[in-house]
Formats: sequence, C-alpha cells, structure tokens
Amino acid sequence: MSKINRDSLRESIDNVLKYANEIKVRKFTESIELQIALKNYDPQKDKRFAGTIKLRNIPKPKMKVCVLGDQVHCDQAKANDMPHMDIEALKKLNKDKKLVKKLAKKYDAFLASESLIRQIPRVLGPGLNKAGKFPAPITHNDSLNAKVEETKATIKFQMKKVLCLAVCIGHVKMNNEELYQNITLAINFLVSLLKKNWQNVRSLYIKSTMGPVEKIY
Amino acid sequence: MESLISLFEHFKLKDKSAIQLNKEDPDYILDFSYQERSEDPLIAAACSNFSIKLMSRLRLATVCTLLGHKDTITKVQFGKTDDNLIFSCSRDKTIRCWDIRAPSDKETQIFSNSPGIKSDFLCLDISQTDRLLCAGTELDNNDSFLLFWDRRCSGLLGCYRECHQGDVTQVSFQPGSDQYMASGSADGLVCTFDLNEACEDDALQLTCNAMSDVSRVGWCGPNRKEYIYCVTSDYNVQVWDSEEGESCNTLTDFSIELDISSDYIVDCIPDMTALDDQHTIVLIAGDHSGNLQLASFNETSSKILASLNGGHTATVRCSHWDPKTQTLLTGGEDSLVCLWSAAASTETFQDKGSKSSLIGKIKEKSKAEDRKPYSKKPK
Repeated sequence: MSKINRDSLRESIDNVLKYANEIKVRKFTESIELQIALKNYDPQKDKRFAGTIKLRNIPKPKMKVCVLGDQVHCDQAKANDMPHMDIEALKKLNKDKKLVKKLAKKYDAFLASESLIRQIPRVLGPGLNKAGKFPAPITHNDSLNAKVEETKATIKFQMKKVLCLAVCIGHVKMNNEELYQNITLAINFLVSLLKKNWQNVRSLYIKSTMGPVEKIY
Repeated sequence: MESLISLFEHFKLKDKSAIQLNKEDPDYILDFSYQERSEDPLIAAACSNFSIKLMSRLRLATVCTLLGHKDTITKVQFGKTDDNLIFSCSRDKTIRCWDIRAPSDKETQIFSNSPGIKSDFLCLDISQTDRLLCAGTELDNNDSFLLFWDRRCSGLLGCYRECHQGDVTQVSFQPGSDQYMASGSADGLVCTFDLNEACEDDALQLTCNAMSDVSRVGWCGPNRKEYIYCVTSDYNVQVWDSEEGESCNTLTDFSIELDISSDYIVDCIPDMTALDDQHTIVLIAGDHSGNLQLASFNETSSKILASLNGGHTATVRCSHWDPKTQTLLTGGEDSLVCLWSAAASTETFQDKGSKSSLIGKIKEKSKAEDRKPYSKKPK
C-alpha cells in the first residue's frame, strides 16, 4: 500500500459512511464501490485485465446461494438452513429451458458437489452457463458454511475496452475497519496484476451508490 | 520426464530475432503458430501492428509479411493437414485465410460474421482435417458465440450461443480430432463439445468452472487428449480429466507455491503437462523484465526446471514448445522472438548454404525493413 496515505483513506471512508448514514439516508442499504482509472495501458495490445478476488468481509450480504448436492451436502445444507436441491429435483425440471432459467434467476450463485457437477450439462443443459451462474465445485472435505461465505465474498472484475473499472467492495452498514480491509486488499491485488503496478493507475475513487465520490489516489 | 528435466538444465538462448527495432513503442508479438513439418518449418508471428510475419525457424530469418487485417490480430494458426495455409482472426471482425504459396501476400479467403453478429473475434482454431473452422467472439449485447465455418465454402455453418456468458477467449480442437473441442471464456467456464451431435444442448459434454476469466485452454496428457488445462487471467492453473470432468491438479498463488519471483504465467507446456499419475503441470512463468522460468508443480512437489534469462527485455506473451526438436520459442512485447534449446550444435540443414552451425550462445538479430511504428489512436 505504498502510494495511499492510510489516514486519508480512513478519512475518506468516514466521509462516505457519514454521507450515506447521516446526511442523506436512503431506504435501501447502499453498496460502496471502488472505481479505478488506468493509464499507460492499451486495451488492444496489452494482456486482458480480469480476475476474481476474495475479500475478507462480505460486500453483498443479501446474496442467495443454493446448494446442489448429493446426500451428504444436502443434509449439511438442511442443517444450516440453506436452500438446496438434489439430483432428483434437478431431473424433475426435465431440461425445460424456462424452468432452468427460473431457477437461475432465483439465486445469485450455486454450489455443487463434484459428483453432481459432471451431470449438470446432461440434466439441465446449458441454461446455467448462459445465466453466468454455473456452480462452483465443493468436495466433502470442505465445510459447507465456509464455502458459502467464500462465494459471497468473491467479486469478479473485468476490463473492457475503456480504461476504467469498478468493483463492489462493501456496503454502508459495514464499519470503517471492515471497509478499510476490503479496500486495501482489493487495491493491492489489482495493482499486482498490472504490468507497471502503480504507474498504470491514474486515479482511485470510492463512492456509495447514491452518494458523492471520494478520491483516494 | 526425467530426461526432460535434465534437458532443461542445459537450456539456454540459442537465437533471437527482432521484428522491429523501435525502442519507444515496440510492436508486441501477440501470438505464434508453428508449422508442423520437419524440414525448416515456418513460424507465423502475429504482431500488434496488424500484420503477420513469417519467419523460418532456423536462424529466425523473416521470410515475408502478410498484411490485410485492419485491427489487432487475436490469434494465428497454421492449417493442420495442409500447412501452407494460415488462418488468422482479428478484432476487425474477419477471419482471413492466407496461402503462403500464392505469389501476392493478400489473403485468399475472408470469412466474416453473419449480418446479425457484430462482435470481434477473440480466438480461432482449425480442426485436424482442416475442414472445420471455429472462432469465438466477444460478448456483445449479452451474447457471445462460437461460430463454425466449413473452410471450403465461406458461408457460416452454424453457431453455439448458449454455453458461455462472457467473451469466448480460447477455442481449441483436440489434437488429431475433428470432433472434440474445448472452449474457455471470461465467465470462468471451460466447456468441451462433441461436434458430431446435432444440437448445441447435446454437443455440450462437460463444463468445468475455473471461477475466473480464462486466458488459455489446451489439451494435455500422454496422448494430448486425456486432460484439459486452463490458465486464468489472474494466473491460476487447473487440470481436469476430459472425460469425467474431475479436477486433477490446481495451482493458485503460483509465486508462493513455486517460490519464484515471477509476475505472471505465460502458458503451460501441453506436451508435458499431466503426463504422470500426479498430473504434474509444467509451465512457463515470467516477469515484466523478460526473465522466464520453467517450473513444474504437483501436489507433492514443485521444482524450477530452468531459468531462461538474457533473451527478452519485456513481458513475454506467447510460447511454443516443439517436441520434435525439443526447442522452445517465445515471443514478447519487446518485438523479439527467442529460440531456446539445450542442443549446442546438432542442427545443420544442408541446403542452407554457408552459415556454419551454431555453437553455444550466438545471438543473431535480423533487422526488419523500416516499418512505421504502431501509432496509438487518439482516445
């Protein structure tokens, strides 16, 4: 975190939180995003800039994850009160495109046991692929809770043809420390992927959904 | 495998050639393709100035330049049965086929999109008999396609549109086959298809989730068809069984696992990956100053096989391993193509005239004719 003054970052986070929570409170939980503007990067020639990061604190708490599991995973899901389906329930959809689409719309992400993942193209067809919600694999060794938390905490970012990028880092109900951790983690990761590291970053901003922008670099 | 390891210990730079000598704004070498013949094969290098340079592998001398594309070339590929044909796809929304025997350097065939599809092409592959040409497109309006052409007629045969939700970044036919194909995309999915099936739903065989934007996909294993590997844009590597879809080997945090100071992974070497029970991954990693390292990784051990320094001076973008001559070619953002091998002087081609055989580290830079440097478009 060489280039960002820690105190001024905390101050900016405070400003954003204050605005969202005191000055103009909205009827929904606003999310906070990090906007990055790049420079000295040619999207035609340079390598693709994209990937996923796992943040420490969950940015989107309302994210719904459904477990598509075999017996063991379904039992664990039931015990943890998580929505789940097993292979029989999936077969009942009978590869009907509309039903698969409805299923995909209902949840934000899916987790599936390894044994089930192989059968998904056969049983459901490419519906989940098209929705961008193909399940992530889980094995019997992983704790289901941990995997769900991990899925909720992972954010995707992708650089398109323009030189700026925005990722959701948190929400206004988080406290200063949590936001600070998420932001520093994300910035360090993104900068490490760039060819010239900080030389490629023109500016960084954070803002809440409805609030003003705070410049941090 | 052991013989390869000992081979790598003796690897050094054998030959180096510059596409263009502009230091401030060099043309990047974005992709390679290699002619699979034994006598003096050609290398086609796609450069960021929208041209393809053909070089001979021996001494890396430029043979000719193919011009015609109007935007960045994203992939170049020699024909697999008829290696006088080169296919290239680019962001100018066309795929061009060039015949190197033809007297002029204009393309012989242009394949373009059907009118409804307006996206750039990001990847391309040709099937074993050169009959089927497949290309993947960028995401446009929430749709990304896998388009198929029959090479002999320029009309579109069909497309798959359901299997990916992000830019299709890689397409790869199984080596030796017309039927099986793998595709990787920005949504993190690697799908395999059986093209003999009638509709897309049945053709989709396997979907593997790499969880992050895919930048390389290939077939590997003892016969180059048992396993699929993928390298993501944030440099995680995964190997899956191509029949069952189970994950055989995964590498995340490569700089920590392999204990090297590299910034990125260029690619895996498909001819050497997943050859043993532990599905060892053999990969090339590098840093932005051009130093490369060859490393192998599996669950129990990780080794650095060789350090390849002194060749490149900037990020390395593409690589090719030739199992017949056991040499490695790399191309990078410094406009250089480098040839690495362990052999000191075992290659002499009789018909190449008076040049004596190369011994040890003799570098030869061949100057390309003066080209206009790549000019940045004003934003």
